[in-house]
Amino acid sequence: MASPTQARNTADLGRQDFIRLARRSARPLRKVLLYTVLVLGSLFFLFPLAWMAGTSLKTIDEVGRSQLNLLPADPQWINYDKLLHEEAFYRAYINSTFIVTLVLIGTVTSVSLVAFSFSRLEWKGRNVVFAMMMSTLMLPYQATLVPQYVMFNKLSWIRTFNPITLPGFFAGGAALIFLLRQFMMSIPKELDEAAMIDGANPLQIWWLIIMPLSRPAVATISVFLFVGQWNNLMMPLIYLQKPALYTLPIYVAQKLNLQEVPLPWQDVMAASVLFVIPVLVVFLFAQRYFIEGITTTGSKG
Amino acid sequence: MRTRLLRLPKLSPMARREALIFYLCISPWIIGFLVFLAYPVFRSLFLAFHHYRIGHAPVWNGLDNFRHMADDPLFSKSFGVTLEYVIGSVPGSNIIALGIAMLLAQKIRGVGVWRTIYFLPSVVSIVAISVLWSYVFNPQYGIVNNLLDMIGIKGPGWYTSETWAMPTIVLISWWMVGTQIIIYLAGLKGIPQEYYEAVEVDGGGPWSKFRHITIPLLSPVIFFNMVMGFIGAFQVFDAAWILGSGSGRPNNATLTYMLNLYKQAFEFGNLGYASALAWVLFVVIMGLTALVLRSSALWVYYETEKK
Repeated sequence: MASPTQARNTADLGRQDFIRLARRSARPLRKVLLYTVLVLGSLFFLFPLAWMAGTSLKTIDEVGRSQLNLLPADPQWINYDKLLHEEAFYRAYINSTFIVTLVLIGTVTSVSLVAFSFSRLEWKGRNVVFAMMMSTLMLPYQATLVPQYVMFNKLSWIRTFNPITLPGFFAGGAALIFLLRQFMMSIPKELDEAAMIDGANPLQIWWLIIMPLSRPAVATISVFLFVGQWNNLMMPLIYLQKPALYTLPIYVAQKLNLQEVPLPWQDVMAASVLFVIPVLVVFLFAQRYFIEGITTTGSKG
Repeated sequence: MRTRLLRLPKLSPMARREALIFYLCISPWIIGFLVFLAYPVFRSLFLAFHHYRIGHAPVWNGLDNFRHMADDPLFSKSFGVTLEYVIGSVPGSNIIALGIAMLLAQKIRGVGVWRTIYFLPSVVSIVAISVLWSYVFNPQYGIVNNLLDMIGIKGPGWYTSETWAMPTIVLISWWMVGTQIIIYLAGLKGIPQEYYEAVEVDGGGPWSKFRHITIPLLSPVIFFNMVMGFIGAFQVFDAAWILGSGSGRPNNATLTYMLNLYKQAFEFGNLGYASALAWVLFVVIMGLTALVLRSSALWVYYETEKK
């Protein structure tokens, strides 16, 4: 596995290589064809999202009519207004935000401490514990669902946020630890040593030296965690069996009652738009962290 | 200096304090591992051989849970549905992702912008995407059937039809290939250009380049994406939950394996049976992964093993 810096270097190398080749074989017709395919392809990927936004501004008559218009005849901003005044909606928004914030704080802190310990500190049995941690990637997470439920039920944690937020504080996710550890390994050891001479203890080294220098890797795991948790459907379904606790995915899923006729698609779409906007914003601003994370671990989270 | 941490005499207060800090740093993971992973895994293995409902003591029933699967119509149905999804989704999305990655690997202006566009659907929640596609595929007023109508084809009922419900979910999965694209793109950039130039010198066209350079050199990446794809596809849940209204509608056509497991555990309360189901899924996934791993010797080419 390459560290993020290594991955960046090979990517640069590749880019130089094909710039060199392309200069040699720049055929205009081929280029026109290439861009045409790219544009058509991107329409296929963007159009449905635009369709979602367009539908969210239509009237109920428009959405139930057989037509191909992307844009509404007369934008119904009231669809959003209605939603923002709906208690269940903003409660779901607050719940989702609350859960994601706690999961982010808990996981980033605990995972970075563990990664720090695996990469910067030398202790007996470190490599054995590290190998053990990596082997947990193979464990069947489906198999943990039932006993975890029973356990949380015994603690009377069903219908609370605890089963979703608390495990984060215990360094869940071997892939995240691995990603951070790989990055921290690439930070020169001399920095720790210099700090130690100045009298810093390991916790100070972690917080004052390693964490600031690991910002790109911390950003990567944060965006993965954010997107993963914001979109998570199954865990909230299992544990938050009370409308007051519902998160956005459950709220949106409930709004989409496919048996309902006529289904108020415009409301469902408006809720979906507000639901996906935070993720899209984070993605647009933190794109390179996503891509680095994927090329390092080979998966999304 | 470097070995200071390790070599200090055992009883020095400094070393002891530092050892304490090491264990302090690692303890969240150790606790999390024991409480949220190790214990549940062993416990579920135990429960898989018991009849168990919340509020009652587990009752040993040997292999009954596994035997029950053989004549449980929901089990065979959900297994078939999941297999249908795996077979439809994994090869299809990999072909699409590879195609797009090869386009993006060309010399084009604004690679970043294109990559963003193609990746975008993959960060959006599957819930929102299923909502969106259920409108697009709506049998009465969805755009797909409208377009089909215009060319004189009567579109199917998509997610409302027993035959078409799973293919609809497969089609949606083909749209969320951002992660695979990024991985293929990284793989493609790692192929030395000299190899392609060599094919050109030999008079080979684009097809020979693809067939004799891209595919063999990319085969480890293809292999990786396929394995990850299989593992993920066997656990498909979200899209099936939305499009089947959480109940496998119509007539269990969208009852995937995980949806069945979820219902058995959290709707019917058959916790022992659900644990057994989880282990069967794990064994199936591991078995198939091992099979793909075995087959990889035949088609995956690693540059280190020079011929």
